Amino acid sequence: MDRTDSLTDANLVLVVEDSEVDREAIDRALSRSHPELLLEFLPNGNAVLERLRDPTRPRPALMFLDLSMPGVDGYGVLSAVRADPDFAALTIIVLTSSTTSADIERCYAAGADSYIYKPVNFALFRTVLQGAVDYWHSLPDRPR
Amino acid sequence: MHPNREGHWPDRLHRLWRSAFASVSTRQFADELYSGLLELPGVRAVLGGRLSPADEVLVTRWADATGLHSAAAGLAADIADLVVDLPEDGVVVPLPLLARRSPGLAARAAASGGDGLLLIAFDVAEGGRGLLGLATVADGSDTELLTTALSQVIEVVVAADHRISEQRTLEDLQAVDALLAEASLRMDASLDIADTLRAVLRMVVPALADGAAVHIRREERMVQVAAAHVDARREALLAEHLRAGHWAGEPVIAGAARAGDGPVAAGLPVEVGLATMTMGVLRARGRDVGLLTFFHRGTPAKRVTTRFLHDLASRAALAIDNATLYEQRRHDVASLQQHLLPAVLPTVPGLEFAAGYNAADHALEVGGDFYGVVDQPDGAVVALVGDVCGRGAPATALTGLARHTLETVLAEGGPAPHALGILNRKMLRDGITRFLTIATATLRPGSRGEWWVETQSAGHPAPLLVRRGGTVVESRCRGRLVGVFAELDLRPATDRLLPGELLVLFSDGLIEARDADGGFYGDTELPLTLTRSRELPVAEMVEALLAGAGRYHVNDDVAVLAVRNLGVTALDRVLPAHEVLGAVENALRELTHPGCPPDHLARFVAGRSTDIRAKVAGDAEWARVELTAVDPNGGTAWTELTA
Repeated sequence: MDRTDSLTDANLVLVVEDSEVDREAIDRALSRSHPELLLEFLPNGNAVLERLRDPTRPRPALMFLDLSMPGVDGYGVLSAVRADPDFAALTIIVLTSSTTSADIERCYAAGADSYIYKPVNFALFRTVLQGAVDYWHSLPDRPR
Repeated sequence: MHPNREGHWPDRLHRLWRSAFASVSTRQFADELYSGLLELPGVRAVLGGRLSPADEVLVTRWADATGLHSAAAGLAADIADLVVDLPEDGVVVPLPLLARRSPGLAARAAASGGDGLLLIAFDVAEGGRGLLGLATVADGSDTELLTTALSQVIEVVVAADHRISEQRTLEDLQAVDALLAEASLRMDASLDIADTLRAVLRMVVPALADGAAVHIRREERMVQVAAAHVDARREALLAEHLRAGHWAGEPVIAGAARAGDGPVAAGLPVEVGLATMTMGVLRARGRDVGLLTFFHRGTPAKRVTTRFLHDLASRAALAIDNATLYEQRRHDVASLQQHLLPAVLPTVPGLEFAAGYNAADHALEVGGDFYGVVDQPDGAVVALVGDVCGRGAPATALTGLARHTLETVLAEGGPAPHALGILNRKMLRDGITRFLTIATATLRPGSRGEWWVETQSAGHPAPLLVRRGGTVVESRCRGRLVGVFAELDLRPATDRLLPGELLVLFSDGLIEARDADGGFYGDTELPLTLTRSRELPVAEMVEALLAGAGRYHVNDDVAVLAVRNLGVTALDRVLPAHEVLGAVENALRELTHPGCPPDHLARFVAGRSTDIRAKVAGDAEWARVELTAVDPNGGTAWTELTA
């Protein structure tokens, strides 16, 4: 898969998360492990497509997506983004507190690139986020 | 800071120390470090690099008039040309000399305007090396001053790097401990070990590994129960190659080799993207019960993952062992329970029986509830449901004694009160400290399809009668517990059971089932369930009762025995489908019932090629028609007709 395109900022990460506490934790964790990343937050799934299609702003290379949100939930965002071939290069990492097989399979079927368990412990959360970002940044065909 | 001292080196150095000690990554003070060095007299560019203990180039930076560049194209290769014999003291290497060892680096320095490179290597945390260099111009630079400045900066970098490394190690250990705690909690809380281990893999990936798999020994074979990969698209691929044996762990799975300690090549096809693996054997009571494998795309942080893997493996092994023992015990209990209950109920013309048993949730001991149906020599039939106090071996023994005593006496024609009296006396004589409750219903055929029912209750919930219209009536029989008092003080009740009516005996676990609000099934919806389900085939009705109307949690041992009076059987034959409706109409006429088969029965029969067992029973006012396809998947259709 070719993950490079001129519209994408390799260091821009979009975080779609309704919980303010979790947004703050993601900010704190990624700022420490990957200070080079630029984080942009959306508090719900309603405006994701509009943001991604905004021609005046660079596209993120990676999106962390909370699964359980009021309004358009994570599944809805995932389906909508994957339905648009323009965003095929966007890496989508689903963040959720569920580890059930049914939820995982549903996310994979909808086009998630990673399914990440969201632990309560911050040290573990930071390690999880770091592991995911490190993995996707390590891919040779991904912009850096 | 004083504005006039903006470019003063000691002040820059001081600020660098402060920034370095507030940073959680060397990247955070890189700008300050490189811009500070770049402003020193005679410096045209600054080079930075980090090498692994194996001298792989991990990080490269280059700062010049165009800015600071991380991982600039080709810079890692240029530095790699220099890694052997790196200088630890500051020496300015003229570019022509440098070009012999690293032409690329010499070209970069020249492009920035420098004519020499001052290069110093130094030790950093975790056995690696750092590298800082200044591209300088000979005219206008003071080598001694620059060497001193570079050495000072290196002191900052080394101190900060060690502090950051120690902090990260501490945080990694905290994360590992948190993961281990959460995984242990899950494994302790669940007996579905395969499902729990799947969840644990989701915590491990990507926190500590890029992929993971767990195998569990089942029937002497290691079976893969879960695999996870941080990349969703490669997860199925990983699972598939593991199943196909396309990996280096296959000899361990096959029992031909032992798992080694430490990361080894995973041997997976390249497209899986996982180059190394660490295996942990799950051992419980001297036996290998499973295998936990972590996969990495490169060399893992061995210290953390190996320790964690072994800790997790030992806890998982214990959980698997407990779950296996539990399942074995459950199986033994279910098997023993089955042997305490009748394998089949007798066939009695005009009556239809069905029984059901619910074992208490997660019970590891045999329960004391039982049921039975006994034919008597004079044509009477006795249905009974009993409940021995307690669980386990003593309750099991008493259940066996009670069933044997009662059924022996009843089968010889003894009346139910007599059989209960004998059992009561035997229990008192033998000093049995447990008691039991029991309900019996003796059914004797009457005229025109009726049965007379005499019910007894020895401390047991009284049987329920379901009338034709759906009204539920409790038998008025009463009596004392068996095994406590010398006299049972039985007060029987006699009722008439018309064709179409039902008698239901059950143990107290049914009426004591509760809903989410704490309401008892027996106090609320049990009569309603009986009314609504009374037309179902009697086995299905029993199932509906044990399901607690979908709302009440039947979680105790419960025995249910239902009897339907079918009345006179006018038809019970296996017929070709096209003959069924005619035969049913004839049978209804024989019963002098005015009804005829409804449309849904006609649709059930229509176009069916297999034979159908047709049953019609009842009397002139009530009739039940039940059609069952001989084909095992053909289903059953029924109706009850009221004149």
